[in-house]
Amino acid sequence: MDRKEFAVAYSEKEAEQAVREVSLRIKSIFPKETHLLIIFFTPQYNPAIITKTIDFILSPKKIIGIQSPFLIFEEKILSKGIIACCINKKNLEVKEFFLRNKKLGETELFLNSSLRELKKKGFYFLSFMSDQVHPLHYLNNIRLSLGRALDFLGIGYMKKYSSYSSQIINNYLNNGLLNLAIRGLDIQLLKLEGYLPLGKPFRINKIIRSKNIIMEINNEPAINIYRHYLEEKFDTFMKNRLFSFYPIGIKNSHSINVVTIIDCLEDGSLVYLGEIKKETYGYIMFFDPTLLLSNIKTKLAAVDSEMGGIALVINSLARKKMLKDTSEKEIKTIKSSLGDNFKVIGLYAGYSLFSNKKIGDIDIETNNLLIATCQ
Amino acid sequence: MDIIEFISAVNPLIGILLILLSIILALSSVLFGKTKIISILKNRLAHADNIIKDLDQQAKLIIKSDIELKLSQQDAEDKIDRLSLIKNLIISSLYTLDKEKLFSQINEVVINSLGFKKCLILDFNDFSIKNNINFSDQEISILKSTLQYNKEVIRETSLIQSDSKNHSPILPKPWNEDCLIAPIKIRNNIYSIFMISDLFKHKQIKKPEKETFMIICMYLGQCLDNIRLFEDLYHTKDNLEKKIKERTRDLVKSLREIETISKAKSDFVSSVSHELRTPLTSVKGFSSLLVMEKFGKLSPEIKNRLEKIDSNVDKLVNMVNMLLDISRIESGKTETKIASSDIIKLIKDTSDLLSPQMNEKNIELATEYPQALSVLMDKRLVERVLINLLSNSIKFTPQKGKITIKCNKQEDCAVISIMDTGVGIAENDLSKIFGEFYRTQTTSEMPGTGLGLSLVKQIIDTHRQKIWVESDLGKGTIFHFTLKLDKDV
Repeated sequence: MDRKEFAVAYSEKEAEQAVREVSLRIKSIFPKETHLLIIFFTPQYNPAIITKTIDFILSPKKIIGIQSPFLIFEEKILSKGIIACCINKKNLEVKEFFLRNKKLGETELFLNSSLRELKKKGFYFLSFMSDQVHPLHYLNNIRLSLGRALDFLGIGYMKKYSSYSSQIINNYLNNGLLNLAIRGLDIQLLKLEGYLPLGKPFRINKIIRSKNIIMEINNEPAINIYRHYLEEKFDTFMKNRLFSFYPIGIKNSHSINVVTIIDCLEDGSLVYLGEIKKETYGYIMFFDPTLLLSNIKTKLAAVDSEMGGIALVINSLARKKMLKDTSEKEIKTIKSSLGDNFKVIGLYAGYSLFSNKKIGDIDIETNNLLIATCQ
Repeated sequence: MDIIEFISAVNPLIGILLILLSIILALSSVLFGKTKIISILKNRLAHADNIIKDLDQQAKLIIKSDIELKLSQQDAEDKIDRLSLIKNLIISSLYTLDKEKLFSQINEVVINSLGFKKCLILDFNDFSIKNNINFSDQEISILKSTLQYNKEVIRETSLIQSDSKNHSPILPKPWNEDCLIAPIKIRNNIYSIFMISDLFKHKQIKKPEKETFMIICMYLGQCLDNIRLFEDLYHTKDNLEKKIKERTRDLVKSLREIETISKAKSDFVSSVSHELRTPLTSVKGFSSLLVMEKFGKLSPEIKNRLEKIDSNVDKLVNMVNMLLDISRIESGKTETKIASSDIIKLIKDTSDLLSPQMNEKNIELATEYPQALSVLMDKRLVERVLINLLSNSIKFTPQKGKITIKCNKQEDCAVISIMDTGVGIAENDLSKIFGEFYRTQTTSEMPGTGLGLSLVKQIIDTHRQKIWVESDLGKGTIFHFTLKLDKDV
């Protein structure tokens, strides 16, 4: 990795000490100036203290901060800590736009006015969505304002994890929508899957898309699909609400998209997170850690690790709960596959939105792993 | 075809019929072929359907085994979590010696780990709140009155469970939250009531939750018992310290009183002795002159009586002098002149002085000391010590007995020991012999004032040195005393 362009640091110390530690480490690599500083922090840290301390030590030109319940640094998963990533790349252009949560109703207008022109100029768009942003509404807004073919990656959350604000934009703290438009950085996105479809495909007959509800599968209440596969284990499954263990795979022309089931309603309907069209076919999906690890190795082998850079891992909170020990194993496999030239940083998200070049559209992802390599 | 053409030429109708027949035959064979294909396809479809059904069955097996595995894993992790919860609680509260602090260790993390959102700990006596997490004032007020009403039921039970299926009668109706209630006991006496309520959605109260909750209650009871023991110990110590202070104060007071009395006594003895000495000097002078027949010849009877008077006056003078010395030393009036001097020379001089008495009783004198040894002493006073101790030894050692005088160096002191083969001192007398006018049973028949050893002790005390005695009744006595060595020599 070219030390003159990228620098990363992390600390698990308490509040101000942690910020001071990461700032000083960045300072030791870039003593003169800091162009773009991206901070990932866990909910224990107060973003106001983070900005104040960083401003004092580093005075970066731009600072962007994102809160996440778990972070990834190299081979580690941090439940408490701060990660700082500094990019001092020549020709790097970064424009930041944010929308307060009270004004989220104006998302389409905001996207039109802020990003539309930049799309034509070849910018890569990064979105950070707080729990206040509805994922599917936002997805529609992007499609309406920016179209389906664009370079885009979005990271969103379904829950609030602390009373502090979840986003830092220079001197502002926000809890709504944050967009970054980046040019001058080569960003490649990889989706790493580990799910296998099981059993007979089923037909999704009735859905309420606006409420993310599947009402009927195979002309029966949607929950019966689980009853069918789980038989005598169904009651235990329901008592423990283990939907995240077996998401639903939606078959489209090119692949199977994994959709997370969040809950079951009294009438047997299923609440989901993702995108489903009416009268499509689906499968019960089964997670195979071996498949995931082998996918990681295969796909990352194709990355040019000689040049080095930053690998931003966007992992799934739903998967973390299910994977348990494997979650550390997958991070270690990512690191060992990318080698020392790549610095691995990342966060766990409730969902992610990304440009799926295969289908020429923006996909929503809740269970699989995304890796954005930045060089 | 030639035949058909021939027949058609002969009879066109028959020809047409033959053509139709051949068409029908051709169509039948095609139809038969198609039916066969359909049948094969149907078979294949049924086979494929069976395969799919098999796959679906296998999928069911995979999912069921997987969920079983995941639940077992979850169960194992829950157990580890519960153990970890108990471990952390023990670590944080093991050395807590404050009840309030102990209850504060039951925080939201602990309650959430048990699967609940609310917690309430009430004092069993006055139902005051010891800890509250997420219960509203209104809920607490209702709970207080119901629990107070059911105090006897709580006393009789170790755990009360209430959930949607079985509502506990001791809880107010309707109480929609799943909850557990248990008493916290200190040695079978209930100290407080512990309640956890509002189970997390989709959870159930199962045996592990109940067991963990009861373990926590028992542990809290044990901690409270430890706190009580510590408090008892602390109070006992406090009381003891108070008593020691009181006793010390009393002792100091008594000591001061004794000092005052002792001073008064010394003053009295001193003044009386002074008053006695003047007339005694006169009596002694006249009695000596009379015995010496300076006032004329005396008859033997009178002379004999006068000699006894003279001898007793001597004793009286001796006693008065001794008393005067003691009171002077006690009151600090005697000026001690401590200086470096050879103790061996002093021992030799004293034993020479008393050698006539020893010779008179055929007492053998043995000595074990170096040629010279310089010590810090008031020579005049130490001479009195040696005279008194040696005189006592001579007095109480029978004919042909033995007196040994030793002098050794021990650290920075010289230890002088005078050992005799006399009558010895009974064990119960040993601690009393240095008191004034004390005479032991064995010595009571011998002449003496009971002041000699008291004076010896006073002199040694004045030198800030030690004197002690060892004795074996009937076999002899050893008196030891120390004197500081002169290091400069």
